[in-house]
Amino acid sequence: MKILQLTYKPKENFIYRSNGVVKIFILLNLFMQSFIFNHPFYLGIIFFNILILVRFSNCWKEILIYFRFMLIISLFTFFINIILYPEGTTIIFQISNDLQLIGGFKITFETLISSLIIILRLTLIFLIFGTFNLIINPDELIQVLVKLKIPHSIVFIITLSLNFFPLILKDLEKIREIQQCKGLELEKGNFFTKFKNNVKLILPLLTNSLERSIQNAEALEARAFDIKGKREFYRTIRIRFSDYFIIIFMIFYLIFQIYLAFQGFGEYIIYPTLPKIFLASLEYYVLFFSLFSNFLIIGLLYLGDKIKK
Amino acid sequence: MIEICNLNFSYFGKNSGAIKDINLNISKGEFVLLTGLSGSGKSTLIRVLNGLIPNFYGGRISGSVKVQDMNVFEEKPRILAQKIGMVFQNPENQLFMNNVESELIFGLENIKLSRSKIEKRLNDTIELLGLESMRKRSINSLSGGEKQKVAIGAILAMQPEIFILDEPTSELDPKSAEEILQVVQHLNKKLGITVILIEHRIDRVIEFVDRLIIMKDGQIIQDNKPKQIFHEENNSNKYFIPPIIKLFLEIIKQKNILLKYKISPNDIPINIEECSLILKEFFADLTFNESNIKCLQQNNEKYMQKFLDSTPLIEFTNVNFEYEKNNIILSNINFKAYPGEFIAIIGDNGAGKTTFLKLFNGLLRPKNGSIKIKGKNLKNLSVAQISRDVGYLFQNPSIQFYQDTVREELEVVLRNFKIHSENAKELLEEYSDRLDLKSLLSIYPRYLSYGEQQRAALASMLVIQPKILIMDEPTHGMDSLQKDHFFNYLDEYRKNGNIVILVTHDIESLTKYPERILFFSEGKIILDDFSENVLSHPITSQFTPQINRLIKNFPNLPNKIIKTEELLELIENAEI
Repeated sequence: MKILQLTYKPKENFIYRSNGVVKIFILLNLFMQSFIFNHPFYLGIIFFNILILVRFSNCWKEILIYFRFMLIISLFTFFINIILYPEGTTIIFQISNDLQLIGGFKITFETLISSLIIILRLTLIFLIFGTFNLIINPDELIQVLVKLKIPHSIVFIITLSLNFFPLILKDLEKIREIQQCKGLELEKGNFFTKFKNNVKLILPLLTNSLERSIQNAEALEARAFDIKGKREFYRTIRIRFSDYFIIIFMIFYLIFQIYLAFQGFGEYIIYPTLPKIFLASLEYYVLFFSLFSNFLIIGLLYLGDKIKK
Repeated sequence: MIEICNLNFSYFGKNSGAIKDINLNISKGEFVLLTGLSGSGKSTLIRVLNGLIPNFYGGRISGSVKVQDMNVFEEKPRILAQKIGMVFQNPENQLFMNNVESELIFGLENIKLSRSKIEKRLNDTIELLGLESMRKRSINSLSGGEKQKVAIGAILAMQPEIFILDEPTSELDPKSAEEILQVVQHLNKKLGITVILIEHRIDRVIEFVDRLIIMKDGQIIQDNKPKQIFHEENNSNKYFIPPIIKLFLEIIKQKNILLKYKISPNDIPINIEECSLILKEFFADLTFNESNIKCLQQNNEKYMQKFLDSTPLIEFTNVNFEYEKNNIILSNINFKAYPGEFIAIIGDNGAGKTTFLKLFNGLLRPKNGSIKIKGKNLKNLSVAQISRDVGYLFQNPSIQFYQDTVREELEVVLRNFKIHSENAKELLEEYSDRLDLKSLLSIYPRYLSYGEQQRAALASMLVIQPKILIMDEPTHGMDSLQKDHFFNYLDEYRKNGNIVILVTHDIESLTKYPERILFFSEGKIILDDFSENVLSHPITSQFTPQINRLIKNFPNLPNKIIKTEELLELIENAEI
């Protein structure tokens, strides 16, 4: 049940203890950054920043599982991209022939680099989601949504899906076991038979989930769900002064980054010919600032936790 | 409080009624036990009470149902939920939130209470059910029993006046089941809440209830105080009689005993204390000659000798298992089993029983030590390969079906194991005949009743003729008739030189069939002996059958008796 390790489990450290809204803002910021910049140095710094966050929240082990999964997807993306997008001028490898349907085949240096950047970006996004899953208590997320005045029915659907994720994983594990006992070979054989047999797990999973949903609906009726009247939430999230400070800082920081992106910072134009990778000196200051601000925020979180204690 | 008048209901698309001509009045503060064989309409009846029928499930309905002067047919179930709380069988499917506290709050927010009221009720519920220690825990980390307790708490917090529980303990081990039943009893006696409980294992609850209702084919066939019901000589009750009452009824058949010890046949004992009080003098006067008692022990020795010459089919040598490093689940397991054995495994939740079972067919692999089946080491075989010899039946039958018909279900298994053509056809015919599935072969498996599903699941395992059959709690949710049938199939199967190994919490079945029982505790086999020795051993006290509990009050009786029949035979041969 390795997969179950990837859901939120409370841990004793200041990142886990700190306010959910703040954590959401920090991750949102990193997420936006990995979208607006594409220069490898910028992405590298973001990557480093995430690792720092993971280090302090003490969830290396879980993140490594994400990494392993990411590796497979990356390899796949890498090759697909190289084959299907042979643009650019620096040709490394070429088969030129006159087959009319397929045409020639070439690999360019530009595609190679752009594929690497895509992988790096994908990994970043994946890691951010992973960290989000690990360090943010679903309950807190729900409270944040309530605070943002999102209709309760929508909030409830989100709660439900968050909590049923582990249940569905358990179901999948059980179906795997049952099918194996019925003689379905999932351990031996070549990649394709294994893949084909694994697909046979999906339909049962759907059937089971549907059956579960009927029982859920019954139980929801028994809990008087969705009757008319104004709902008063018992628990709401409390945001303290130091949290507000970080949130406001994050908002300004994000605006600043978007401004920079418009000014052409962190942009790496690959096609048609790959330019030099080095940046203008001003941009190194920006990178440094990004690193610094990450440490600053983690420091503030730590201080906030100390004060609370 | 509840008034049901001429109620009839049939599900959409079905001609025969699920419940017929029901008239029932339940007054405030009553504790009602509702029982009957599977498919007798118990679940349908209670779903009428809280409005799920006809508002959630469609069908034809007639008659009237009033709960506290509210017409149930006209109200939505969610409105009725504030008066009638309902706890379902499977705890997992009725919990929605991430941790215990939010789960309890969820219903309270739903009925739109103010924050201060929510706080009060939350704290009251936590105190009442003793949930303080798990208040902040996540739902996923709770055990089955704890989850069911939270589910009860979540309903209780809404302060319903009627509490309906649909087999709340069927998925729990005896200890947690006991706890849940105590909570229910507490709600009834201390808070005066009306309780309607559906339960198959009557012997555990019979002493608390005010009223016992037995249903059959959609009708109420018995409705009275428990003592009254068992008093009447009625054949239709025979599946529901708890062992001690059965014992009592047999003893009082002899008129001379009645006269001599002044036992009144109307005075039916419903718990062990009452029974020992009533039969105290009778039991004290019993004297046995040595030969009778010896006869029991000799049987045991003979059983041992049976296997002296044969080679074991299953052999575990020094097996250890852990999921994570240094978190040992099973340690140093040595175990052998021979053809023809019927072995049961008992133990608390988390003792390693299921882990042990999963080692048999490679679903889990040992950390070290060796497992041999039919002399072959399992190390390099896949689960699918091992499954040719080792059938594994899971707890819940319905999740084991993925095909459109029962026939296809069996065919897929045959195909997976590459059993083709004529031979396959013959096997399919043979096993569908043997397990009474002939008429069900073209039905969608999930539409079958519980007992039928379990039979179909068993057939899909047996059709490839494995030498060993492993089962994890196969009888939970079965009524006693289904259990009897099921165990008879198993008994027949193992007599053909096969092995049956099962984990079960069902104490009364344990006394009837398995000859050998393993008791697990903290990942070790603590006892591995004949069933009467294990079940009467002091460390397995929570699994002690009723008859054995009774016997322990009388030192002059041989203390290893676990079956009613055995005791009766002994009494017959004894001198008074």
